[in-house]
Amino acid sequence: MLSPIIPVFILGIIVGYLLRKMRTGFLGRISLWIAVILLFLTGLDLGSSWLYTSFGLMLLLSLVLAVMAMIFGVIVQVAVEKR
Amino acid sequence: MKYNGILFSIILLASFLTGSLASNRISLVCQANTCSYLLQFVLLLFVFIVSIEVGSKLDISRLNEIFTKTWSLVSSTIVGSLIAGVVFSLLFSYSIKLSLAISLGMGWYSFDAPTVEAYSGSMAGSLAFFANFFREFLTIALYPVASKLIGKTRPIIFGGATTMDTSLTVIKTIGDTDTIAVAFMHGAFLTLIVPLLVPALLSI
Repeated sequence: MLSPIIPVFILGIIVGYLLRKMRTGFLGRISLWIAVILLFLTGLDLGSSWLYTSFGLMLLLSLVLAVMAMIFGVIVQVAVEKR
Repeated sequence: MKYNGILFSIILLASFLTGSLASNRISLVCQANTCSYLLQFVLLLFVFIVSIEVGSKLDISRLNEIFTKTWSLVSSTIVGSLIAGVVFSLLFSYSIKLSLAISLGMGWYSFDAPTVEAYSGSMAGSLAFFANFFREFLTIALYPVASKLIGKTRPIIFGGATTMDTSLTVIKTIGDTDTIAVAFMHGAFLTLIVPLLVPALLSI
């Protein structure tokens, strides 16, 4: 998952920096539609089993843990910024 | 054509759900990991185009500020996940080690679920999968609203390690160049940290 993404990102940054005099606004619109395809493929790859799972309690517990991890992270960040 | 961030985020979410629902039918076409390879290719293409955009607007004099912001967010994401693991363990009488291993997956379900499963069985592995999957799913669903309430940078924490790929899609629709750069680096740092942290924790 990790290996090719970081080099590709760094390469893109360098290419973008070298092309900074050119108009690259159209890339923003292209990337948004690629994002739509990307998320469709992610859903496709993941499958639909998570939608029909019978482990109701497990789903609920995992949802609680996910929400807590997200909220506590933001609380810590706000506290750090206020110090 | 003007692109409305929240509307586009709904399109992204709908696209993800459509993909999930369509998987049963399309799985007949997507044999031998064709979809996974296609997904990898589209992901790399997306990251490349986004990074060209970021690079073309990059102000080198602000690089230090971007790194400081990223490091601050990475620390908060890790500490927040640690607190969540401890609170979850206390609330539901789960093993502290297991709770921390799940919460420190930080959204990377494809890594955390098999790792936790290998150490603690399929039930714990399933919990790890869903907890981390929901983190990614909720980031895609909630980032647009959260960015209006608490700013564009703070909700990057929601996405954990996924902010360098899947949830970067939704961050890109709302965020500016700095936010996209911070989100990518935040995800990249966590993607390096999670494979070290989770197995180390489980082997204690």
